[in-house]
Amino acid sequence: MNRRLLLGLTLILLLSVLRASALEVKHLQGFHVVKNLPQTMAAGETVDWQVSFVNPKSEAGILSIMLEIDEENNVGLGEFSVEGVLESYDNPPRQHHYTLLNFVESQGGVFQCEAEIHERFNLITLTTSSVPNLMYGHYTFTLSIQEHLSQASARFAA
Amino acid sequence: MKKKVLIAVLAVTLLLIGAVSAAVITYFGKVKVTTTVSQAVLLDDHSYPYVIEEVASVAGGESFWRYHWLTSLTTVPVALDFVTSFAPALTDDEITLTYTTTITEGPANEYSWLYHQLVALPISGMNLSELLAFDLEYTTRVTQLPAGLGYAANINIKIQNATGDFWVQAWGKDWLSQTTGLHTVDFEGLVNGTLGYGAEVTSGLGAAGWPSEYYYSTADLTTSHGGDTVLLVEVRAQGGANQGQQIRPTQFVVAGRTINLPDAYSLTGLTLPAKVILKFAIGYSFDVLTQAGTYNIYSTVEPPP
Repeated sequence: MNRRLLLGLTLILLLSVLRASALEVKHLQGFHVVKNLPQTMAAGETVDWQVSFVNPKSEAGILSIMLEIDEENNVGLGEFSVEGVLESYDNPPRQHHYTLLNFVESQGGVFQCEAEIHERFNLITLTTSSVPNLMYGHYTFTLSIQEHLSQASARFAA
Repeated sequence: MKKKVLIAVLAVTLLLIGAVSAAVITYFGKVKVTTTVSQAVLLDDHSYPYVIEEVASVAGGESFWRYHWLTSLTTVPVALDFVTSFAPALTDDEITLTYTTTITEGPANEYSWLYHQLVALPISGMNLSELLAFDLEYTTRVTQLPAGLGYAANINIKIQNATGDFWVQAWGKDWLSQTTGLHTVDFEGLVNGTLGYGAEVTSGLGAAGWPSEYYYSTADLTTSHGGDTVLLVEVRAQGGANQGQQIRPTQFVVAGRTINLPDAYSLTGLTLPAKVILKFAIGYSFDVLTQAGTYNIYSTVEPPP
């Protein structure tokens, strides 16, 4: 009897783990570009890029941001640098909070960072600069943002 | 007993995983932009890896000058090396290179540009009417001024704004001649409203050997500064042909704002300031013992090692 129960629980546990690994992915709400990158820039210049999104229920979660910069001849480590600021506020009260986003370049042109999120309106400003001797060419900037909202944790905490 | 504990642990774990997995939702957003990055510095308006190629048929002891320019398109200073090589190869004893922003080409006893530089000064936020009531001054150090010759200085100013380009022309109140040392030349503003280009004639020079009137042309100026509103200042100093003479301004005062110019340039380990067009000459001096012949000369700019 106990052996069957044990087997059953183990199976359910495995299924749960599988389910947990296949988390539901939805489109980031209200995601849009506020200020785009310029179509042309000179090597060495500093440019800003702003995107915004909404966290409708002001749920607590983790924000994962990845910026990939790519070019035909590959981008070397240290050729670009990225700094970021997350501006968040609820409405009401409209009190703005600023969080510094510390990007780490994991490989040439790939920058990642994480930050906590818990307010409704969110504006990310990325400041990107390159070295003056950057090879000229066409560079593709891909910004990916993941917002992991753990509603259960919030409920448990409440 | 052990089984019961195990079952209990499994049950609790199951509950926790179930609760969490049911609640974690990931939202995802992605945006992709392709942008064209231009080179920070152009050599003679060409991108890297542009190579200047010269062919010179020379005998030992001969020398000549060639004229080039570096254009900074970026907003940060750029470190670079200006590299020159020869084929067939020459040793340092056989060829001496002189890099200078002083333009000294020209026959003896005729005036030439001793200093010639364009400086793009951002003037966003400045009141243009105040700017036109300008007050310019610069300090120059004059050395080895030859007897019988003097120098004068010109400043031409080009203002670019939404309504077009126009010129403000000014000239030095004080003409210097046969004098060495530090001099501050004070310029009074003169807005003549002349549009476009043209030769401006002034006269009245004190030192012997000067032409009674001289001309300056502005046709070689560029306006490619990324669409910014800039004050494009062209500074020229005139004097007799004397390669040892160095005249360069160190400071401008424009509409009450002091703008310090970069220190003297060296093309060895050069740091080119932001948004500056640096015009310079390369002097090639062949030693008297250098074998006469035809030499190919290659010059380019490279990032520092």
